[in-house]
Amino acid sequence: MIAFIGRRLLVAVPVVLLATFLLFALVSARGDPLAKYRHDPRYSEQTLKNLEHEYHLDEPFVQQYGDWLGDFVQGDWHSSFVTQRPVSDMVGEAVWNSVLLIGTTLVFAVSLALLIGVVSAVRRYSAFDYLATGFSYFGFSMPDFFFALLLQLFVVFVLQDALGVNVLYVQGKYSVGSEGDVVNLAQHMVLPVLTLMLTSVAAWSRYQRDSMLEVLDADYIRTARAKGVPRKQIIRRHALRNALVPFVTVVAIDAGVLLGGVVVVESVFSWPGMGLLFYDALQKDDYPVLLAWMAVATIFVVVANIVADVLYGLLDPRIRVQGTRRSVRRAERDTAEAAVRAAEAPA
Amino acid sequence: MRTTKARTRRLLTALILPTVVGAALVTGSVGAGATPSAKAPKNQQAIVIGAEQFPPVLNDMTSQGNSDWTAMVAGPALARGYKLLPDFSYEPWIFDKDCAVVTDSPFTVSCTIRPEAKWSDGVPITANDFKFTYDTIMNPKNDVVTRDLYSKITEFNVISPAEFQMVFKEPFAPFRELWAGTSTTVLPRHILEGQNFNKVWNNCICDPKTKKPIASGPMLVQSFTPGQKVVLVPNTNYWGKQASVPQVVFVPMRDSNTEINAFRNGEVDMIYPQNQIGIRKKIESVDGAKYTSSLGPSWEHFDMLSSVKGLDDINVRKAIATAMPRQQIVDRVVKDANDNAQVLDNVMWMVDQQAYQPNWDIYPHSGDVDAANKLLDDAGWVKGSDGVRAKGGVKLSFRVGTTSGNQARELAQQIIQEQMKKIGVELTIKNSPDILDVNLSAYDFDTIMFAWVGSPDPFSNNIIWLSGASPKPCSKADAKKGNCDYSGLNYTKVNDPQVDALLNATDRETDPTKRAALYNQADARLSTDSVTVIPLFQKPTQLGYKGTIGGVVDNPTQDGFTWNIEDWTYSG
Repeated sequence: MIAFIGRRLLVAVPVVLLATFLLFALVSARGDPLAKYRHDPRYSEQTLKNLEHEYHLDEPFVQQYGDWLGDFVQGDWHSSFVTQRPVSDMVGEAVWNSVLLIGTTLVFAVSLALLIGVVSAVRRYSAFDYLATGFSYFGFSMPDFFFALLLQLFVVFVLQDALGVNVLYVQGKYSVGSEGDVVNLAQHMVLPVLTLMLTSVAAWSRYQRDSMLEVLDADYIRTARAKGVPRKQIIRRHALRNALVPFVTVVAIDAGVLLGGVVVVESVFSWPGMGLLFYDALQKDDYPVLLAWMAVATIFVVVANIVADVLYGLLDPRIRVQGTRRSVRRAERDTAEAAVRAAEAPA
Repeated sequence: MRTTKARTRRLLTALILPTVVGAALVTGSVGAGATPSAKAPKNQQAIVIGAEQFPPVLNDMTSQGNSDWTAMVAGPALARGYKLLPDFSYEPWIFDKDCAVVTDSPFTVSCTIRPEAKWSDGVPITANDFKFTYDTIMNPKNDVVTRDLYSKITEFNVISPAEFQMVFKEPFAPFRELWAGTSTTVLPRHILEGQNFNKVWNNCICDPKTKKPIASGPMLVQSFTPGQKVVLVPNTNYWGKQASVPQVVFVPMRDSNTEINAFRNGEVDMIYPQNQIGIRKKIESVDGAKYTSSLGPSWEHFDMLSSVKGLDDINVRKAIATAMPRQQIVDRVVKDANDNAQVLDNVMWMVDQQAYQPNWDIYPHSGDVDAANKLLDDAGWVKGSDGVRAKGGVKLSFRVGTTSGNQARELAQQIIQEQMKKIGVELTIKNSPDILDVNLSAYDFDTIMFAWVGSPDPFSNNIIWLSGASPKPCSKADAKKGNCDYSGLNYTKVNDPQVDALLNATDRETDPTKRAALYNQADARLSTDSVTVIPLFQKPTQLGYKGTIGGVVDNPTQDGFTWNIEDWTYSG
């Protein structure tokens, strides 16, 4: 397993390098990072020259990238054009807030998607299944920002009116004076987490449903039924376990994609995370923050993919021992035996 | 059997691990996010204000920090020579009286300081602090927002701790502007001498050695958490009226819908959103909320590039001005926010200013289509089969642009477009988000709508009208790179020697009445002989706040709505 993870990490290094180079090129293609400041009478010639030198903008493109990467790897992420704070501090603060949001979303979205997916598959074409299908269409078609506003309006006009007190909040991470209060934090997290969950649950529940249906139609499930294994046990121990393999992989990959989703959600809810940092940096042409953000986002997505690979490897032995014919054959044999044993498991 | 167990273990790991990690993240992040103030008891007496443009840094004098919101957030901590009142007048603040012209040649102005004025650490505010501020601004190493006005000073003499004199190269009537407005705050010499001005007050208004907050105004900036909040508390050593609100907290609001929802939900007590149609109703619908609006020194206008074929005929420009439905625009776009809004008939002075004369009322507010048609008929512009007038192969068909996404301007555009059809002038809407950054400086527009940000004294607007202040043409590509000439703002190419003479005389005329008359003469001349810019209306401010906050008076000048924070009261 360690060798497998090591191989994945080795492959990730050139992927990160290539991705950061492409992102650096894309950000550079936006034009002169100082353009906005050059015609601003508030910036003197000297200030602009100092900035060019500090951010290596007076060097050829490839050298700029090399210098930036060198600085980045050594932890020197430069200072923000706008706040003049070290970018590493800004990203450091924001990344935890986003990880909190994404982590919580994952926990709840995975649980809910699993539940919906399994019940929909088991009770195929039932009222619940149709309802779940309808919900999925709703989730897919509802834009994040619009759903976020609907939730805000629900809280403001329905919930607050009904209860007379603030149960949920529409912006920020804490109320003023309640910093560090976990309950207050949770009250602020509900709406952004629900918004982020919407699309994920819609997609993952459909995925889990399909995966379950495929497994439920498999021969070994039929065999288990024929052998009189109780229905609940078939679902829980045989069908769900096998159906989870692709589900877990998809979730792990999508966790990286969620980082893109937080840009809208954090902006709407003024959540001080990576999404809001990106939004602000983009609006203000804050070049050093944009570059660092993209590099961190790249690493996040690559790590999410490695986690997906590792989980897949954990769940399916054929993957992690891929590479030698003998081990592949052994893995295939193990898997086949495992499937047969699962089907033959005593009631 | 072993394989089944192993597989079960793997599955459990795959399911439980994310849950455990998620829970750990929640716990970890709560811990990471908690600041030392996190354990402070919940303060119900804090007034929480939603800030649409949260200050990135606190030093309003630097190019990074200079913005309306930085001024409103940090302004109450830092007194200026003058306070700008809501009626656009100057009230001596640190000064004990209005600065006086001592001699006309060389032009010398003397200012004297109140004896009771002191910093929050008890050190008196003296003429040396003003001299230090002047030296800081003029030091080329310092990243200050502007030194244009200060560069007119040739000598800065400290006469005594309570008096200083400024000697100017030539008579300079708007000398009060040097010590008014929030970007010209007075700096504490005993605190900042020898410090790196570009960074020292980015994250605090404090003594960098002790980190203790310092202030000359009624409030202290107790803490600044970048991107999250700024906390102001009363300066108990303030030499003026003591503030009674225990705490004022500014929090960022990125989204205008969220801002109003947060106000409705009671999460913020006060909001100051940009002018939006319909926001007044939303604020007023909140139980116990109060709404107020002022007409500020920023004004919207419709510009015509006088070098464009068709628009180079002053009769066409006059016809457009004559038909312009300015009253309808005000009714549809501004009245919603401010009941007192009216058509602006002067490009130098705003409606409430004493010197205001309605020079542009020669153009009927409701737009006179018949008179406009007659003007065009007389000038030989003939309507074609498509209803668009033409002469000598030139059609009166123009682009009209503005910043896309600006709801109020887009509505005004549509009103104008419809009206112009009636006089045979075709306007095609071409908006873009960076039209003011790119198209304006590239002269790539026919007609355009935007706002000039004014100040109580109109001197800063001279470069909109002086013939020598037309920037050199700049290609779009160069404009995108920022390689343009930005020394002037005369984008419509006004070229009138008489206007030049009148405006140049305003800088030298120190008698306020005569100076106002000069500006009005220039304005009248622009309305009859140039007509490249049609004034529409003053932009309204919109302030919503809980009824439990008392003493709030909006101030549309640079001093902003926090200008009288010491008068505020809060009953929870």
